Amino acid sequence: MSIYKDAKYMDVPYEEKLKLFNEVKEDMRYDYSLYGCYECGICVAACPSARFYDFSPRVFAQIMAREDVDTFYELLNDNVWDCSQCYSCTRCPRQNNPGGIILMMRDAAVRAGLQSAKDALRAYSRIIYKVMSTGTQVTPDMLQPDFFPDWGTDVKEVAENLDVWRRAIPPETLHTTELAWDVSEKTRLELYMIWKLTGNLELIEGIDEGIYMILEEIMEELLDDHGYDIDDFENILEE
Amino acid sequence: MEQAPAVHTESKAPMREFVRKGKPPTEDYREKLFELEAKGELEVHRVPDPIMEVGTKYGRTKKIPLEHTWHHKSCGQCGHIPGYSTSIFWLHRQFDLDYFDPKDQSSCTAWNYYASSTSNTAAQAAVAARNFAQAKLDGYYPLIHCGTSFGHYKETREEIIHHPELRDQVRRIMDRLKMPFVFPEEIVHYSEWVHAMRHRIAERQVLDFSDITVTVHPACHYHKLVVEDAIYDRELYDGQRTAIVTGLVEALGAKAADYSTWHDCCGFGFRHILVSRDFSRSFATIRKIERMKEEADPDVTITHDTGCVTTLDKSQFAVQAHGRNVGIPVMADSQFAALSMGAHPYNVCQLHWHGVDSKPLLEKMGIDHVKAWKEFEAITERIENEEIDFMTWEDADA
Amino acid sequence: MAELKNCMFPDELLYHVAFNVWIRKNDDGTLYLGMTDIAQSMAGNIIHCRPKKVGRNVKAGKSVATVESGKWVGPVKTPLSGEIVAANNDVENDATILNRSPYNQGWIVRLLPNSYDEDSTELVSGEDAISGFDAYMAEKDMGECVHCEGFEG
Repeated sequence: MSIYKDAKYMDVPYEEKLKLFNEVKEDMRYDYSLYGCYECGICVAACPSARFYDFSPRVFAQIMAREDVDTFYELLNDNVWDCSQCYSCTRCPRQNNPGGIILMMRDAAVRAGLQSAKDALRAYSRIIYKVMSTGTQVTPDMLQPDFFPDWGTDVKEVAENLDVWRRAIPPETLHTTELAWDVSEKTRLELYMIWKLTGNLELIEGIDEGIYMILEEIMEELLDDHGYDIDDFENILEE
Repeated sequence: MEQAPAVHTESKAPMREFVRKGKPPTEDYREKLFELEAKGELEVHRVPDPIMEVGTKYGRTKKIPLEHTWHHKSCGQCGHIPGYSTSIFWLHRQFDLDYFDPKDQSSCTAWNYYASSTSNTAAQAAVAARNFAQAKLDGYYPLIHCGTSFGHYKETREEIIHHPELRDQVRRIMDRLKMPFVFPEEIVHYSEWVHAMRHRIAERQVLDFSDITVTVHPACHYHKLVVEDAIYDRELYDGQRTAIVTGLVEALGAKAADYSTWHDCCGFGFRHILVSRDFSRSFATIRKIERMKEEADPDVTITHDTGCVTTLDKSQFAVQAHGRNVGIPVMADSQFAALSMGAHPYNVCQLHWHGVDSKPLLEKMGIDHVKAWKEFEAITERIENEEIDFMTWEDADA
Repeated sequence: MAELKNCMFPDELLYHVAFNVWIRKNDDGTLYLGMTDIAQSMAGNIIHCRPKKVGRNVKAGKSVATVESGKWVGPVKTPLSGEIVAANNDVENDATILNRSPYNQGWIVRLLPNSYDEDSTELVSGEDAISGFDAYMAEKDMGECVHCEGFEG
C-alpha cells in the first residue's frame, strides 16, 4: 500500500514492482547501505536536492526499510533521478547510505528499461556515447553556445577559438577537441572488451537504440581491426 | 514586577579539546588488501618512496607519494578547465619531480555510474582495475586528478575487498585483457599531494597573498564518500573538518574565511549540470556563492574537484539576470598554488576557460594580466600562422 | 519546394519518414542519402558527421553515418541495403553544411542498393511525405524547423 493518498502506478502488476524491489534488496551493496532508519531527518537537512525538488532521502530509506513495494515503484519512476549523488546523506547517524540506495534503484530502473529512465536520460545520450566510445565523457567540443548558453559569453569565445586554444595548452595529451585527452587505441580496445564482457553495451540497447547501434558498430570495427571478433566477448555476468 | 536577574554563563567552547579515544570505528582497508594479496587474489601496488605521511579522519596515517606518479586525468578538467590539469603538471615540473602523463588511461567512467546508472559494479571495477594495472605496467603510481574518480575508486575498493564474486569477475576480465589484477595500497587524490607539498610550495612562493581572502569549498566526493579516507589535521579546524585545501591556503599566507554553508554540496549533480541546470545553478548561487559573498566577501573561492570548479564558476553568469549577489572567481588549489609560484595566468593556469572574471583577483595578486594576455595571444598567433603546432612547456614559462 | 511549419522538402526527392532521411535517385543506379530539414533542426548545430567507410555493405535499418551536435548524437539510418560507394568528405570537414544545405551540399553517402524494389516500399514523396512528416512532428511535439545556419537548399 502506497503512503501517498493519490498513489500512482496502481495499475502496474504487483509482481512487476516486487521483482524490481527484490533486485534492489539483492544488490551486493544493499547490506551496508541500509541498517534501519529512525527518521531523524539529518539526511534531508544535508541534501541539496531536497531544497529544490519534492525529494527526500529519508523517504527512500524509510520505504526500503518498511518494504513498501508500491511507494518504492512510484519513487523509482518519479523521484529517483532528482538525487544529486553528493553523499551528504552519509551523515546519517545509523550509517545508512540513501544515495547508495538510490543508485541501486536507478540501476534496476535502467536494466528494466523503464520509460521514466529513458526520459530522464534522453538529453544525456551524447555523454553515454562519449564515455563508452572514447573513455572520456566530457569533451572540449561540448562547449557550444547552443548547449551551454547559460554558462556565459565566454562559451561562444571558447567555441570559436577551440582548435587554436586547445593547441595552446602545454601538456601534449591535451591537444584534442573531440575527447578530453588523447586516449590510446589500446585503452579504447580494452574498454570495449570490458563493456562486452560485463553486458554494459547490451544495457544501452534498452535505453537508446540509436546510441546502441552506433556504439556496437564502432566497437565491432575497432575489435575487428585488431583481429578480434566482437561475438567472442560474451557477458560473463550471465554465467 | 521585578525582572529576573540576568545570568551569564561563560562559554566552555574555547576550552573543549577534541581528542580521539579508542580504536578507529572502521577496518583498515590496507590490511584487508594485504590479506587478499597474501591469499594470491590480487597484487597490491605499493606506494613508492619518497613519501609523506598524513593523518586521516580516525587517526590512521596515509602514505602520499611525492613523485613517480601516474597521472590519472579527469575528463572534466582536461575537457573544460585545462588549466587545472596543466597546473598540476606544472607544479611537478617546478620541483623536478618524476611523473608520467599516460595516453593509456581511460577516465574512471563514473559518469556512467553516478549520472546515468548505465553501468554495473563489475564494469566499474574492471575499468578501475584496468587503469591500475596499466599504471603498474608503466612503472608509476596512480595519482587521481578528479574528486569523483577518487571517491568512486574508494567505493570500488570497498566492494572488491568485501565481495569475492566481484573479485572473481574482475580477475576473469583482466585475464581476457591479458593484464594483472592490481590494486593500489592507497588511493591518492592530487590535492593530497598538494597538501603534502604545501610548505615546499610556500618556500617557492613569489607573490604576497596576505591580502587575499579565500573561501574553501571541499568536494563532497572527497570527504563524504568513504568518510574515513580523507585528510584531517588537529591544527586545522581542530580536526573537525577535512584539512584539505585549507592547509594550502594557510600555508600560502592567504586568509581562509569561514561561511555557514561550508559543508554544503556545490550542486553539481552530474546529470543535473548537463540537463537540469536550473537546480545546479540555483543551489550553487543561493547556498554557496551568495553565502560566501555575504559572510566572507572573498577574493576567490578555492576548491579541489572538477565538478565543483565547473558548477561554482559557471553558475554565476545566468543568475545575474535575477540580480543575485555573485561574482567570485573560482579556481582549483593547484592553480592557486601555481599562481603563487609565479605561473603564467593564461599559459599555465589557462584562466580564459573560466567564467567569472578573475582580473580583479590577478591585480590584487600583483599580476599584470594585460601583459600576460598579450603573451598568450602572441603564442596563439604563431599557432594560427602555422609557425608552431602547439604551445610547449618552454613557451609556457618564457 | 514544399514547406511544412518552416521545414523545407524538395519535391523531387523520396523520403523515409521514421528515419528522417531523403533519397535522390541517380541515373547510374546509385542514390544519394542525407538528413531532412527536420532532422537537422532537431539536432541543432551539428559538430561532427562521420559517414561509414567506402566499400562497406550496410543493411536496411542500420546506420550509414553518426551525427553529433552539442546535445545529441545519433545514427543516420538507411532504409535500403547496399554498398557505400562514396562518402561526403566536405561534410566530415564542416558538419554545419548539414544544417544549412541538408539536401544539396549535405548529402552524406552515395549508396548502390542491392534490393531496391524490396526495400523501397516505405519511401514516400509529395503529399504522402508531407502528411507523414506532419504526423511525425506532432508525435515528437515539434513546433517548427529552425535554420541556425540559414537555409541554402
